Amino acid sequence: MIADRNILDDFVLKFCAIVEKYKKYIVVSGFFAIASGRTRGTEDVDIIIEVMSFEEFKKMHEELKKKDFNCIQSDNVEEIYKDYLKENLSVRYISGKNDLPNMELKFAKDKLDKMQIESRQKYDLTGLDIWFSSVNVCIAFKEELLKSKKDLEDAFHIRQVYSDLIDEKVITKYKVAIRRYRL
Amino acid sequence: MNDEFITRWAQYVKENPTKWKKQHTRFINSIFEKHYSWEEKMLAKPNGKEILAKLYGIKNKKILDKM
Repeated sequence: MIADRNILDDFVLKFCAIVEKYKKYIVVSGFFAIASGRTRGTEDVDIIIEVMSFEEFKKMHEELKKKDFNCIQSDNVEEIYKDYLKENLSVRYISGKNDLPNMELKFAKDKLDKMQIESRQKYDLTGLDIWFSSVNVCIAFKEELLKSKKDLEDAFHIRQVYSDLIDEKVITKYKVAIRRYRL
Repeated sequence: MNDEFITRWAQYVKENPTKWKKQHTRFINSIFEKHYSWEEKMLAKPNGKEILAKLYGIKNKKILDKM
């Protein structure tokens, strides 16, 4: 029997259930497209979380470890926090000994990230209790910043499955913000 | 993947919100199962662990010890 949830869903749900206890987060980019039905694989899932203090991060990291999520860059929580996250670099967590999938985690680094977190949404179509960046934000990033063939196909898919939620004015607003903060 | 395929599948997802997931789950799981099977073969090689560490940037020794 095929379960309703796939390997990727289970991984993300378990990870986000822990992060949720500490700070607001959003899962962005490819996984949103895949969770919305896009037929492609991915090695990593991107998550942006609100900036947290070292003490808060340490608690979250310890809880992640208890649930067998380990950071591939280091086992030293201070190094992870100071050398990576505070430097606006991402870190990756894997579950158990499986190198895939992995969760690429970074702190919200600018106004654009904060705007994304503030406009986060949950989507019934995904069947997942996970906060995602909004449909319009996701499309703006894929069409304006990422732009690879895969990203443009993701945006094309998202535009169709969520056609009733598309707001071109909002997409344009985010594209302007992306040009201002990221390009 | 062409736009026509994406359009057809997106339409199916939209019109069948309770049905698409089963096919999709089979597809996604098959990708990971194939990878895990490849990984097992790699780990059976004398330098397999080192290759995987290099491929995936694994620097955490505790993870490598588990593999």
